[in-house]
Amino acid sequence: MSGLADTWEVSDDGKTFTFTLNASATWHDGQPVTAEDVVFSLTSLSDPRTKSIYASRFDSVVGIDAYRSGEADEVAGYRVQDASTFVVELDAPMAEAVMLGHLGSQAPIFPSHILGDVDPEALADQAFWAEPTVGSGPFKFKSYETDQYMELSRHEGHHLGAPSFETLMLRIGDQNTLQVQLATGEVDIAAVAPQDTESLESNEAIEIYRYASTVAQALYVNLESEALQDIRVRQAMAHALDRAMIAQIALGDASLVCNGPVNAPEWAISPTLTTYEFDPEKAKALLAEAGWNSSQKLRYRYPTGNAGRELMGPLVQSAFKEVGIEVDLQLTDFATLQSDASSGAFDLLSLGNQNASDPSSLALQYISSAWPPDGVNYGHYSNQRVDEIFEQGAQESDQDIRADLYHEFQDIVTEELPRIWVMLDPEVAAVNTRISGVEPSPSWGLLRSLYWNIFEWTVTA
Amino acid sequence: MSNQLDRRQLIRGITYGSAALAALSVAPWGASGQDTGRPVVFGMWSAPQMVSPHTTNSTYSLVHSDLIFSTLTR
Repeated sequence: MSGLADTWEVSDDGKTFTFTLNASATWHDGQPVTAEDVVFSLTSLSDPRTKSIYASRFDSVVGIDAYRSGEADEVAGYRVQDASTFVVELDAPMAEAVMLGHLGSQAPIFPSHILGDVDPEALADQAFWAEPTVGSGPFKFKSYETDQYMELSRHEGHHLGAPSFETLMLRIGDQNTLQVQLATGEVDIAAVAPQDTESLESNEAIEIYRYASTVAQALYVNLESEALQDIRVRQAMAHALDRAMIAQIALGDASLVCNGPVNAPEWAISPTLTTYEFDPEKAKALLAEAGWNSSQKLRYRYPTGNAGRELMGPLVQSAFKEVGIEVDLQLTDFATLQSDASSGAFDLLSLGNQNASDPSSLALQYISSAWPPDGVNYGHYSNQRVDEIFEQGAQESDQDIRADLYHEFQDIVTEELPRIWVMLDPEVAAVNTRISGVEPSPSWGLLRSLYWNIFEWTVTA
Repeated sequence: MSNQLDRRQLIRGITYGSAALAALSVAPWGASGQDTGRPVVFGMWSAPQMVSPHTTNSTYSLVHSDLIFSTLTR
């Protein structure tokens, strides 16, 4: 949450990144946060022995193979320059946005003076992860009562400013309980379901924040399913949906229609993607052309856990029925669904995707080398040009060229429809008015979106 | 090339809603408040989980810092 690097520079060839840490950053035990800590954290992040799922992102770091094979004790491309400066050196150029994404919220920095001597294979099993007594964020871990609450206290030495309040309690509860506790003032801040804000709206002690997230709800099409291989069938499905109506019913007023895979940042969104207006007659005509067999039933799989997505299922079912496509709705828990999705046990799969900081992060959903289990391209989409675009986009440093590449990607997939995009989840938070300074940001998941600047909040009694 | 972006500017550009703007107007950068001693209680739908060093749950981002503040890349 708190960024440790103040500034960074990229060499002209895009291969060397030099980062300077905030010199006042300290660990909760008072030790300074140093370049050594960063190199330790990046080395373990790049090491598959730590069970890091992001290791492959660092395949192009100089010397990574020698380190992984045991020939070298250190990764040559991670270098400490001085106490607060370190260098990442690559064999091949990497776009700045891609590097920053890799080093963002999925690469927290850990204390080498606590964990540095742990064998990489044992690192993931350390008790430290559940009880992180030494961090460098705005709050210190104090205690955790399983499934009830976590207590945190402020880090006076936080490099971006100490929080204005001493104790932060994270209270765990179901949506209904939290909603009641928000109303009574027992809970100060929580995410609320977009459909359930009415009773809170009238409470003068509560401010409601609504913002569009970048989580897109879409139907993954299983391109191995014989019934879905004709592009006209997929186009018919896209034309059959009244997205605005579905989003409004499923998610309420703050929802937005989603027409493609990239919804942020602005520069990355293609102005020329193919959109499919609601036109049931056109859908029927396309199905007729494709020789659609209306007696067949498609398996529409969707997971529990997201009220809006659960409501979307029957709405899509009814819209498809209207044009002659029968779907069998199958609601299952997320773990089962994920496993079935990997084995291709679906025709249509309803899932949400966080649109991350940079479109390069979508590669594992679309490139042909990312079919499960190597990625989450569940529908087995394959397009050679799309593969090339992601490879080139991750290395290109010219932002205009990158924009052109990712626009082309969107134009291709909205033409070929390996997915039917439907809507963007809205995010809604309720905050007690005794707290000022909350600035929800839709960028990266509901909780982080709410408390990214918690060390700047002011609180009255 | 060097970078030192103003993350607040970026976020303001993508946050909407009068409530958010109202909050901004009363909480300028650097504002500091009095500690009332009363804890702030954050309600969460699910328990925090930290299954490995590199699959952090957002809860733990209150305790740990990232190298790069993610929004800078947006």
